[in-house]
Amino acid sequence: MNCIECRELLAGYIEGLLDEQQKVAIESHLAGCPNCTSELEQAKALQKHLLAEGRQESQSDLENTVMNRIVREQAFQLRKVNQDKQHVNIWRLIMRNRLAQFAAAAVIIIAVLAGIYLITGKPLGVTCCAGAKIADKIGQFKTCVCNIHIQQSGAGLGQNGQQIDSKMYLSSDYGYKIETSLNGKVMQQMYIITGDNAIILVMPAEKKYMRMVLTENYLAQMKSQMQDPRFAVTNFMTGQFKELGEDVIDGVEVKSRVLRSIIPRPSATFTAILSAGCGSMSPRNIPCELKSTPRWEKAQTK
Amino acid sequence: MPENDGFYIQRCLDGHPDDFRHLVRRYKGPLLGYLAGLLRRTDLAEEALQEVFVRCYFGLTTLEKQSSFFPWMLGVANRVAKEQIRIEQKERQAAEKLAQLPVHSNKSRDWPLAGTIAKLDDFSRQLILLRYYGGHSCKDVAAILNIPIGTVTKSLSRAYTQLRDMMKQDMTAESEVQL
Repeated sequence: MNCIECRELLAGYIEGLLDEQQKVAIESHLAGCPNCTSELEQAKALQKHLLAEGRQESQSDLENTVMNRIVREQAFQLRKVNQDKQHVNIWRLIMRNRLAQFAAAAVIIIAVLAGIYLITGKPLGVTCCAGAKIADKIGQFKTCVCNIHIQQSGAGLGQNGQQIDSKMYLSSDYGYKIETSLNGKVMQQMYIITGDNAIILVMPAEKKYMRMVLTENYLAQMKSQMQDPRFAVTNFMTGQFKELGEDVIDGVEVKSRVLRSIIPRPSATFTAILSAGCGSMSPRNIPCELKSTPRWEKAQTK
Repeated sequence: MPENDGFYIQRCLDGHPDDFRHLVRRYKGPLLGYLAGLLRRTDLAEEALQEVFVRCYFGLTTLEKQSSFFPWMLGVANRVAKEQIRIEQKERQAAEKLAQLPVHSNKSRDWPLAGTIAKLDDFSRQLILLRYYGGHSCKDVAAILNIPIGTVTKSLSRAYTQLRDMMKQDMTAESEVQL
C-alpha cells in the first residue's frame, strides 16, 4: 500500500468500516510512514471538531415551528385558490354586452311583480299603478339573486307533486346563471355568455352539455328591445297574459299565467316556467333563433 | 434508515403533509450547519432554515429527481442564505449610518468550521453535512446519496484534507489582516 492509497482509506479506518485485509494493510503502512501517521492524527482531530460542532442542536423547537408554518401557509394558499376559483366562476357569468340586461330585467320583473301581487292582492296587468315606479326602480338595479320554488300540482308537463327550485344569479353588467333542481337534485345549469352570443346548458347528472349560438338578427332584436331594462318592465306590465288557473303553494295563493308579449322569448320561457310551474328547461323550450341545431355533447370528466 | 426520501416526498404529494416532519428531522442538522456556515450567525441560520423547509415543501411538485432531494435543498438553502445576506447587509448599513456602529466581525464563534464547510465542493459538502451535522452514519449517508459506502469513506478522507487546507488558508488570511 502506498501513501495515496492509505490516505484514501483513512476515513474508513477511523470509522472502523474497513475489512480485515484493508485494516491489516493500512496498519502495516502506518507503522512505517510518519507522514501518514501524522495525517491520521490530524484527520482524527478534525473529526472530533466536526462531531462537536455537528452536535449543536438548534435551540428552537424547529420541527414543530416548521410544520406549523407549513400548515398556516397551506391554509392561506388554499383560501387563495378558492378565492381564485370563485373569481373564475363569477367570471364565467360575465357577459360583455348589454344583452345580459334582458335576463336581469326579466327575472327582476318576475320578482317585483310577484311581490306586488302578494302585497296588493291585485292581479297584474295594465291597470297596475305602480308600473312606472317599478320601472324606475328596476332601472337602478345592477345585480340580484333570485330563488324560485315551484310545486307542480295537477296535470302538466311534470309529475304531480314534484318540486322545482331555481336559483338565478344575475348581473345587469355581467350576465347570468340559472341552476334548476328537481326534487332537490340539480338537473340543469344554464349560462348565457353574450360575449360569444351563446347559451350553454349543462346537465351535471348526465355529464352532458350543450352550447347554442344565437343568430346575429336575434341578438340585434334583443338588444334593440332590451337596451334599457325599464323598457322590459313597461312591456311586461302592458303585455297580454293567458290565465292558467289558481293554486295555493306553501299557504300562498298564486295565480298562474303565461305571458304573450313582445318580451324576448327566453324571458317569456322563464315566466312560463315560473307561472305554469312545469318542466325543466331543455333546448326545445328555449325558442331562440339558433345558428345551428344544438346537440348534447358528452362532458369531459377529470 | 426507516424510509428513503422518495417515500416521504410521495406521501406529502399524496396529501399527507405531516410526513414532511420526517424529512425535517433528517435534514435539519445538515442544513442548519450549512446555513450557519453561510450566514455566520445561529439566529439567522435558524430563521433561514425554517424558510428553506417551507419553500422546499411547497416546491416538492417541481422536484424532478426525488433521489436528489438533499442537493436540491442545499440549492434552496443557498438562495435563501443569499437573500438573507442581502437583507442583513442593507440593515447593517442603515444601522451603521444611524448609530455609527463599528463593523463587527462576521465570524461565528458558534460554528467555527461551518464557514469553511460551506466553501467545499458540492459533493464533499454534502458528505460532511450529512455525516456530522445530520448525525448520519456513513452507511446512512451512502443510502441517502445512493452511492457505495466505499465512495463515501474515500470521499470523506479527501474532504478532510481539503477542509484542513482551507482552514490553514483562512488562518493565514486572518493573521495577515490582524498584522
